Amino acid sequence: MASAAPRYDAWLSAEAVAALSEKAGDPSSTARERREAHSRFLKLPLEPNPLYRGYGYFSNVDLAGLDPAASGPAVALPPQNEGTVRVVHDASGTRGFVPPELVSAGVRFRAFEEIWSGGEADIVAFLGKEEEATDRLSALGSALVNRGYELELPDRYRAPVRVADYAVLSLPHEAISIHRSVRCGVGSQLLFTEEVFSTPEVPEGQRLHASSTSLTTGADAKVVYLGVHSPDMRTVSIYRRRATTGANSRIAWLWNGMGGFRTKVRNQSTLAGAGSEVTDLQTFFGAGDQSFDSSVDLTHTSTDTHGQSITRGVFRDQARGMSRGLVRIEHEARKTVAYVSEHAMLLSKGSRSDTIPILEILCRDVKATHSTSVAPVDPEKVFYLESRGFSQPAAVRLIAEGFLAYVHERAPVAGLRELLYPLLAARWDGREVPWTGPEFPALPPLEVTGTEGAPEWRFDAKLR
Amino acid sequence: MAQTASEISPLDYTRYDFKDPETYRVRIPKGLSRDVVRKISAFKHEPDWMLEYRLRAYDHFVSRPMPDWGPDLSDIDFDAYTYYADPLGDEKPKRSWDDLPADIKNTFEKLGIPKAEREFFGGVGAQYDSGTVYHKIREDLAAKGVIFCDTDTAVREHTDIVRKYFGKIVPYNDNKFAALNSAVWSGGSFVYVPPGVDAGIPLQAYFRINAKNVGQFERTLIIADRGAKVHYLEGCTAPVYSTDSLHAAVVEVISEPYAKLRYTTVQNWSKNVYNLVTKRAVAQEGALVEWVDGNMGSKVTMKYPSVYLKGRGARADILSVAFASEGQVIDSGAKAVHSAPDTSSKIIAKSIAIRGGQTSYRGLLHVAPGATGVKAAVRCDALLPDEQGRSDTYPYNEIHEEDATITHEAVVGKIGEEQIFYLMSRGLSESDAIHLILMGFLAEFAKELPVDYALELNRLIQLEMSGAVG
Repeated sequence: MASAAPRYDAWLSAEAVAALSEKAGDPSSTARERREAHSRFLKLPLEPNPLYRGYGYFSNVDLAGLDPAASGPAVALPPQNEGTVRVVHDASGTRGFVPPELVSAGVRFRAFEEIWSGGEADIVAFLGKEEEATDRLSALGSALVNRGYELELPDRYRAPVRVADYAVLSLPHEAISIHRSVRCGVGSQLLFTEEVFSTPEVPEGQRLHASSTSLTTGADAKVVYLGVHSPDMRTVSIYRRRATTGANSRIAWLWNGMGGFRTKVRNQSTLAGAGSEVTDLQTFFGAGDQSFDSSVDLTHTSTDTHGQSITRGVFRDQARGMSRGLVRIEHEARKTVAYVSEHAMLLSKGSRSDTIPILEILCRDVKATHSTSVAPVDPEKVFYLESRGFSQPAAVRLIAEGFLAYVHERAPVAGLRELLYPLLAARWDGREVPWTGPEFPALPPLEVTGTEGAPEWRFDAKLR
Repeated sequence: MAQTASEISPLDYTRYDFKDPETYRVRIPKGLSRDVVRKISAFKHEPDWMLEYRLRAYDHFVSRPMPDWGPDLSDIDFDAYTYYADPLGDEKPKRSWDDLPADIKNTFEKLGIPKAEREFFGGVGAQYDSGTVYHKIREDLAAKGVIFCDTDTAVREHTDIVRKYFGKIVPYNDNKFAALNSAVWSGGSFVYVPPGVDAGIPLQAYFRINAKNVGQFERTLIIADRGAKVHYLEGCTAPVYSTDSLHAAVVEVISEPYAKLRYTTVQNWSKNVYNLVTKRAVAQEGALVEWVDGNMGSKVTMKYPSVYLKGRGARADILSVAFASEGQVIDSGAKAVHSAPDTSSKIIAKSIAIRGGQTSYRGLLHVAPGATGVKAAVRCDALLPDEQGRSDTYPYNEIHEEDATITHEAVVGKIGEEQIFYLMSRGLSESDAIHLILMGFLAEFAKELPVDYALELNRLIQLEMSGAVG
């Protein structure tokens, strides 16, 4: 385990970055940007925002000897869901399979290698004009980008496009850093799943998984982006997501943290299109020495926008949760409705939860509320269930599951609670869920809420 | 129809905005150095331990960076202030109103201090720039052993009690402004209520900055000993100058086991005062601390009254109100730190930001490991009555014990047009309707104030709203 002051230069050397540049075939400008990102990684603070200084659970992280250029055999895959775009990130790189009917409908997909072979202009367009990273981990993610793809849904393609994205860790000292650039055309519909697992042979040292997604939606587009995070207990993850909404478009982020050692999630959504809506839903189940550290930023810059962030965590043993939610309503964003809710249930002494739900409101014609709570399991509920024949542990488990299901019921995905239940049950029993190849029970295709014949995207289903 | 900014008249500060000629027995030239700190201590004939404490604090102040997480403080030039200006100099604070110099007496007459003393309070203190000019306590309270004097006198006359508590609740290295206060403090109230004594009627102090560019750094220490009860009340004003003044107080409050202590402040500094205050209380076993904290004035306020709940069953009740208008940034809030079992806290924060004013609620709720059975509730509400205000909420919740019950809620919104419409349909003018709604919003605060303070609050808000609509 690492000492109090990590040796960041031992995590990632300049030589390892150079080796990655060479393997990826970086043009000189991209190689230079990687070098600059690496030197920022060595210098920058973990947490630059003075509002959050002193917070953030990243202790005992030791990523010594990261090898971002490592490669190995491709993992075996379960059968592909019919009609679904499948993308796999593993030791062999990024592989994508797009059904022919989607290709002919105009769905564009280019994987990492194809983008890099397109040359400098393509790479710059892919990575986007990102503002320079101001924190150590974002800089690390930028220095290491070695997987990824771009995906574009054409305008006015009305059928929902399903994407199943898997990241599978399999090598010691692995450093997988994925960047996705996703553009949803006017009126398009995207049902996206991102799942992270690792193969059963878990090496001694810690590994890095970085996942960055940049999403833009055209007018009237609808997106569900479901994340399931369940790698082994030695994986350190950095998630970064950015979204910009078009008019009347809707995005539901839904992220479920179950595996991993240290996980840092940063979601930034800008509600730039009038009438657009972003729902950011997160659940965490932490046990052992796990920690989840999440920031959600919702920035309202246009009128009639709705934003909500709902986070719920259950923490056992020495697990920790940190939730920051920041809603900013700019002066022009009239008629905004914003809601931040961060709730936690602590099941053991030694578990802990910190929450910081921030509102910054520069416009009066808004309705902005937040609520947080931390509470133990209500003994009256336990007693009630015991009186109905449940054992005490079973009663606590049922109550905790119900507590998290509150979040799942607010997503426009049918039967989401049932889809995630097997993973949650395994984690509750202290089991990991390793990637087992062809038999692996990956998520089935998502269906939106509503009835079968008449699907209806019920955002915040429970409330309507 | 909602009111517009241009229609709202500025707050009438005339009642407070008078300036006395600046005649001081002692006035140290502008600027801050170790030498200035030594001079202040020498003027006060302080014991060596206090001088050493001041110098350690000064060194820490110099080395500590400005806080970067809150309002903009970049305009503060620490060398532009006078750190010590005392109207009485070596003379002791007066105990008879008639002994005061005429100009100072006149000032506090205008502010209503002796009147308040006669009518309502058990003791009154008044501070004018750096020096305490008047201190009096009712004889019956003094006979019970209640001490109410200025802190300088306490350092000399009640050394044991002062040394036991001074700097223990707010150490000099707590933050930059606590360090500044610890280095150059002067005046402030010292209250000690002996075990089992109920002080009954409130003790009151009034702080006034009169001279231009003077910093006021009072140091207040309030101790309710075992089972005692006391209510301390303070108000603050300053006249309006074109350049800024600085107020950096430190208030340390101790509620010993089973004591009950209430501390009420209504801050109405003029809109050119930086009000950067550290207020903290400790509540021991079974003790209660109540902060009632109103922030109406100042250019920038940073103030987060805190209660450290250190004994089993201790309770904290914090009620904080902020009203920010043009050019004002009021960054206030509350902190409850639960480090003992079965402790409870309740925080209610209300803020109104109009005419470009900014209010922020910044709060901390901390439940330490071992503090089982904690119950804590926070509610912060904000109103933005016009188009220009800004309201931020920064609550920090750190929960490290599994059986804590914590809730936090906040709502930010405007005044409902249907509420105004309803009141107007009952015959009220629009501005009266808005005023009534604002007073209703602040009712929980107003009803905790003594009646004359509550009337004052009502009048201030009425003035701020008057002329709002035709």
